[in-house]
Amino acid sequence: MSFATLLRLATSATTLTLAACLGSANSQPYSSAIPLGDSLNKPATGASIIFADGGAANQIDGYSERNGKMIKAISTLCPGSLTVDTAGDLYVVEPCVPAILVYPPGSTKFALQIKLPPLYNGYGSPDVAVSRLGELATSNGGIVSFFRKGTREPFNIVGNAKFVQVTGLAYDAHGNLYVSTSKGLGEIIGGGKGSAITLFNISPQPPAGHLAVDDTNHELLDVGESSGIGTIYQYHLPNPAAQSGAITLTGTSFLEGLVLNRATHSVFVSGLATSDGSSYVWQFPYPAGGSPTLTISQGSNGFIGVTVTESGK
Amino acid sequence: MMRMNRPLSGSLLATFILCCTSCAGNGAATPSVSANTEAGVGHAKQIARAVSSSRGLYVFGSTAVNVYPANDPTNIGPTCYVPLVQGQPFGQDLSIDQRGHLWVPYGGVITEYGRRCGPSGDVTVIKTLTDRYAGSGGPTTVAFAPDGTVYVDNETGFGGDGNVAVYHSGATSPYDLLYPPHPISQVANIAVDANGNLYMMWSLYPGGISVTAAGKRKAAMLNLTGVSSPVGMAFDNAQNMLVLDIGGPDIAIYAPPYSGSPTATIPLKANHFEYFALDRANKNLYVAAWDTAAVQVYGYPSGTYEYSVSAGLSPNSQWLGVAVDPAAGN
Repeated sequence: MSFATLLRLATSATTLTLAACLGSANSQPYSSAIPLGDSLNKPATGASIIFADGGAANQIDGYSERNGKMIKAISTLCPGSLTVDTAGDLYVVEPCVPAILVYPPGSTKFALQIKLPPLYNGYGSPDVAVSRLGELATSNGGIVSFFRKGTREPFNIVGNAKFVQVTGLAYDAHGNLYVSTSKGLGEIIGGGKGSAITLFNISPQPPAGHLAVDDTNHELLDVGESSGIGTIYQYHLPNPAAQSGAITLTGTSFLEGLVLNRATHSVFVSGLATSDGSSYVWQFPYPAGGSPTLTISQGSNGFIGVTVTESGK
Repeated sequence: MMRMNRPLSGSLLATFILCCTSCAGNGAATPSVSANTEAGVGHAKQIARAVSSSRGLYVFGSTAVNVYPANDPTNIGPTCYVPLVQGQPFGQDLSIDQRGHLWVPYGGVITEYGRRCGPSGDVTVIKTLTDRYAGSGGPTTVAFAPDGTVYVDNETGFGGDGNVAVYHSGATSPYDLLYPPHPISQVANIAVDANGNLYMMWSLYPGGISVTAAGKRKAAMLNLTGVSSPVGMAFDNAQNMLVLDIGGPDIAIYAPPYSGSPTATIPLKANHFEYFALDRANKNLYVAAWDTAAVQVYGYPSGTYEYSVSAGLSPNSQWLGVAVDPAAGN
């Protein structure tokens, strides 16, 4: 076929050909290459996955909540705080970058990277929380930034780094955000739609620890220590102006991470054991506390973030 | 982010080639890898060329766009700077148009700079584009169609969903607004091919890549496998589509008509990436690792890592936009 013939054919067929190309693309959905088939990624049927900053400094380990066995490992630069959303997406703070990486369920590769501004010196690792509707909140010094679901540009920034340090974040079922700060507990009504952190005057001052919300019992949980023993402090919502109880976690100290699994009536905490000073992740019955029902050794790599998926995700 | 060469036989024939699967084999790029031999006197000459003509590697620094000599493995540092003219820099991607002008989106506007760049930052601002459709992060990427149409990516547009603002050649205000199709709602990056077709991409599942035919407004999703989280795109001179996939991380290469599996994949040294650029000679890929503030240079199409450029760059400052002059397709 001559070049001229080819050109005539191309000219006459151009519109149809291009339309066919686009039509073909439109008729078939985008096929993702997310490695859902990796057997390491499959938890026991119906069991949740516990994610914790790993025994290696650049790794996140996933464990079956059912038996504590390691079922996956995710390589990352410098994992800090962790959380999951209702779909099972894993959010990982990398304070050394700084960034938040989002891993789809079952994937060991992140699908979204959220660049964070430089961290305020001396304020430690940012925390991260995701509401039931997918709104993301992250802390940096005294500032909380809010992102709409699946986006990476903040749509609202609340707080002032000069006055207070935010260390823990947790949403309730209504999308209100609770914060633990160096000046006490606070809340941002409406989450990202809110305009200011309201601090509660609580005595004695609550620990500036990580938070969880028990929506069933209307409790705000704040992890810390009491006389060197790991303790979860309880504050009744919607007005957490006074401590309503405390849960002692035997054998623990210097607790950092906290997450509540509503389905299994348990809490997971991370920190140091009083016995050997090494890092662990523990599961405790909630709200009873007492002795752990599951203990996972995480070596001694500093901060240990912990989170848990909903059952089967 | 960039466009490929206008085919010699015109856009109609290019369209035919684009969609003709029997021609897919022609997508193989010429196997050629650059040799980085600059040193001593040769290196000095190259720097002189960069200063006088601005041809080189552009990287978003912390307070300015740094200009480096192209193909210089010595990591000697920038030879000149393009100072930013207003607002605080919010480093996004950089683009080079057909004339070698640099386009910088930051601070809510897009600025077009002239080609000359001296050590003291003596550059000329050609014009500034306003973008009333951008969200809080401002515009993020600029791409150019063969007819001069300028596309500006607003990753998260005003109102939350991403969009692409469309400008006539030479205009400073957009005349149209395009949206990505379901299931993607944000636009991490855009690119335009030699036929003027616009591609939008988003990384978060369900992520993917859409194509909007030139002159049209309705977008359709490409049916690709082998890429999970696309954030960047370029076209080589053989009309292969190069996709930066942070899910690898790698660059997946698709021959026309851009469906199915990649014909090749270039793995990247483990880092966090967002933007990359391909030179006009199709000899080097410049991939910006924003977490470590370095631009990794790979041979193309071999994919061999060659060296990195990091002098004058600092982590924690930018997404580390990158462009190379002359760019592929210009």
